[in-house]
Amino acid sequence: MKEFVLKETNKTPKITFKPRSGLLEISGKSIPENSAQFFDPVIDWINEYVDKPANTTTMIIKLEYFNTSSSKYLVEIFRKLEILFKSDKNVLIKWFYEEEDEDMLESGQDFKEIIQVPVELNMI
Amino acid sequence: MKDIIREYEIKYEEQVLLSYNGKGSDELISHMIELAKNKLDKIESNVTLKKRVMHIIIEILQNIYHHKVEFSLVDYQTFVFYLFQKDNGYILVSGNYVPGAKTKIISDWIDHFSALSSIELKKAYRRQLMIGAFTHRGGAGLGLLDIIRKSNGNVDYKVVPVDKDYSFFLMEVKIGC
Repeated sequence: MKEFVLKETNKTPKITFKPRSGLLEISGKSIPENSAQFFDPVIDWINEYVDKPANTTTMIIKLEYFNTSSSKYLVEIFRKLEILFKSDKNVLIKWFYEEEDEDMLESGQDFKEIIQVPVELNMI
Repeated sequence: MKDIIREYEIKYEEQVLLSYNGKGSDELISHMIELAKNKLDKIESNVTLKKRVMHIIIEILQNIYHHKVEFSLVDYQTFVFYLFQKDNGYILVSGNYVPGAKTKIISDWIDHFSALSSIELKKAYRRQLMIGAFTHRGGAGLGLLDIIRKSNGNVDYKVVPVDKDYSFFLMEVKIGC
């Protein structure tokens, strides 16, 4: 399985998914007008990864901004990781937020509450 | 409609940071978001407040853009958007054409959720996020709920009937004031 890499733009995040190490990182801004167009290939890659995952999967989320349609796709990605976690794989979501950004912390708490995968909240 | 927009302009005349009245496009929305960010970067040192205002601006503008796509008639693609600074906070005023039948749905939604406590809003938001139901436009459907939550329910609106099919929907969101 190939690595999945997308460069950051002023509306879409940098994505670096490494299937061998199980390190999946999303960082930057995620405010695309058409979220489906951006996230559909991301979801496709995750679907393939879930069929043949690494022993440990760590998803790193370092977002500055994201719109609500992106948040729905994040839920979809996390739901895929739930499948791995429930099949006894090591899965951890590391959610990063700036010290003074209360809303980004709260968003991390929202996901932690609704997703059945360990979520670690980390101050940058 | 013009009278009501003028009322806002006069009411907050001294504090206008950004104003737009015209037709929209993907590119224009992007420029407005950038412009708003540049302005806020210069004047707002409170990171949480600045990012909260930006978050709401993005939701409002992208929501208007998505609705615009639905309209085949160019006349209904005009929208207004204002960013005002007031006291220690900000006021966002936006307005766009909405099919008459939809105005009741939106206004009922605002009435219902803006009356909830912050804990109830948090629960409602998480419930909505969990449902994962997308609208046909690819939007998340919870943008408005997010705006209400982040503004602590400080969302007001006015509906101005335009013709038998459309109304102009004006929304005022206060953040930190």
